[in-house]
Amino acid sequence: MMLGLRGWGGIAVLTAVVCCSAACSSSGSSGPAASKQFQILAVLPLSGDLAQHGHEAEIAAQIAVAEVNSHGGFDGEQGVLTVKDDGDDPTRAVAVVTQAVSAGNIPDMVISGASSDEAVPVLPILAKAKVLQFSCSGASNYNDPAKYPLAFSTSPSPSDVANDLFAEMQQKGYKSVGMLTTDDVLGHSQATGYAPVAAKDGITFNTRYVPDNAVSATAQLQQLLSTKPDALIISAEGSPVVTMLQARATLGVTLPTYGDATTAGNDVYSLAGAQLSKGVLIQTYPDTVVGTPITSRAPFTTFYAGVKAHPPIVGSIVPYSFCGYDPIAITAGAANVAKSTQDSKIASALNSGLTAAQVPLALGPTTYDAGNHQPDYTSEDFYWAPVSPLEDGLYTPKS
Amino acid sequence: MVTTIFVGIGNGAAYALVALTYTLTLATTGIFNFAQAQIVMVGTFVAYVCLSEYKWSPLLGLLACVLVGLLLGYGQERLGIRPLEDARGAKSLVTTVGAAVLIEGAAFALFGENPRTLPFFGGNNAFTLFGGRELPVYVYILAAAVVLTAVLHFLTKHTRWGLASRATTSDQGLAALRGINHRRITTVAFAVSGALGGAAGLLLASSAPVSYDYGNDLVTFAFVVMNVGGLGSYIGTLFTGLGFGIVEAICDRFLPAGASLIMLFVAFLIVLLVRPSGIVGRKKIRMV
Repeated sequence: MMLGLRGWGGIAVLTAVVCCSAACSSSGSSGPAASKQFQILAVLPLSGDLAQHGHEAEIAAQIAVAEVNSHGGFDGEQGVLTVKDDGDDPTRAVAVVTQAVSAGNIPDMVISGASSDEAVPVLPILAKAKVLQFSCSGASNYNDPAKYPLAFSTSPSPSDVANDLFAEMQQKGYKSVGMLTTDDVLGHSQATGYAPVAAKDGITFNTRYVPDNAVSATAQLQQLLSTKPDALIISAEGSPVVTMLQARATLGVTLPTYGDATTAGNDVYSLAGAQLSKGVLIQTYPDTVVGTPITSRAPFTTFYAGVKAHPPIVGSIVPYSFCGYDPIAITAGAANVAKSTQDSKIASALNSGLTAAQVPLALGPTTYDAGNHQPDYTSEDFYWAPVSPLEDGLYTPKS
Repeated sequence: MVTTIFVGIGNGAAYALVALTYTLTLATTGIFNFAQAQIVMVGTFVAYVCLSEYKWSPLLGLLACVLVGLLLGYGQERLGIRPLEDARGAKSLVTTVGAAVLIEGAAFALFGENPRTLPFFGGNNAFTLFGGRELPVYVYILAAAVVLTAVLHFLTKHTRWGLASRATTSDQGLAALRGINHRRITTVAFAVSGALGGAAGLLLASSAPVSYDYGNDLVTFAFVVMNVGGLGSYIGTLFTGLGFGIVEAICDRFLPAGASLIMLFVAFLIVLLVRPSGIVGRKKIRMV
């Protein structure tokens, strides 16, 4: 079919309009027009039990993308964030991710969930599709670089948590330590990770498990106390933290009590109240405490201002930084080091062990290696704080 | 060991308290109300809001819990039970489970996922008795369970309402021929068990974290306690609840994690095999 001159002219105008609008939409509000965008898919629990954390991670991811884009993007490519809801349901998470990698527009990176339950099931799908995956999962079965070379986490490994925890115990001269934890995957994973570190440090370590739905942990604590510990560790999330502290109050336990990094993810003070949480020390992170070097300067100040612009902040700042912000900030740094947005090259850059200077926008540790895709946490990356009320997600130590 | 026994009695009394409110609807109407634990859960939130946020007195808080529970129970009967042609069976199972999901969803939407704690108005310092330690709230829970058992047992055995309700459970058609208004009995049973569930929430809110999924934990234990004790028997429910709690605490004290649940469910299966209507249950009511 022949087109007249007027017809060709019309097509030319239409093409010009389409090209212009495409260029405008892809370039964003600042910087030169980029031909390719870095597509980030965040599959988060925007509904269901973890909806609060999902929304927090979404806000943080938006802040991270805006920050990265204003600092030059992912090796020059502007990041574009798409958020989808998995309802805190592993089956839905798998369906959403499968659909994403089956479609024509495969994302460059996937942030998977706010929990291990969402992150672990999608590992094989993203590994097969060769898509970079980031999560805040601390589970040991998530961290398997040989099987999943493109999957990384922002959370410390149980052994890194234990190194700091037992260094503290050793410093205090404790010879025997007892831990109450939940009778679930996380609890068993923590206990398994902690035991060899305690043995290495010459500390006798005993664990008792409390069911998630237990109305009391008193009998389990009695059992633990029969091992004559010098100090007590509590490792749990949500309601069991209260149940364990109630057991401590019932038995009138005066042993030094510590909440590990898992417990630090909770707002223990508002969860358990002043009386139950009295005297408990929490193993938190420097970016959750007012006045630490990290929270006093950029990029934290920019990140935190962004978070505060979306009130209220319920509980700790941890879900924002670990599950939404740092995955994007770390990936951008790695892409800039690799001078590529190819996922395998980003992974190689991450495996090379990035320094803080190479990942200037990240809040937490960024040192990975080929055998460990959970970042290296040293004692400097933890902070011991007495349980106190959180103010806008942060601890404010008393002078 | 005394502390372990105290822990068992305290937890067992909490299970029994919830199970008693289940038994009330079952004994008087033959309907197992799956949403009962969710009404208790709402009671815990009402208690939290009244006592912790509005700083009401415990008595005012109790009245609010009773009122909200009563309205929920009444509303559930009017909307989910009365429209059914024969509520005793699978139909009411569906509507009561539906009500449970609805109430839990509403609690989640209103209060979110974060659990809350409510300090007990009667004190939070553990006391020592016979060498064992216990929190004051469990004394109140035990007292409430014992008093409720006595009152419900008396009402069922020694009043016209109790006689009418037993007749309704036994044979609804025959009871209707004798002039008993079974609809009214059902409405009263749901409203009263709702009110009692709400009131139980006031005490239970101080014994465990207040959370939207609190009802899920209760429903399993209450169901087992009620079945083992004897469907329709208040005294059986109380003693089974206490026994259940003591066995659970002893297992938790001396055996590895998870052993207590296995032991309890093995006991449950044995009772069902030997006495399907429970230890002191009436043969007419059989749920499983």
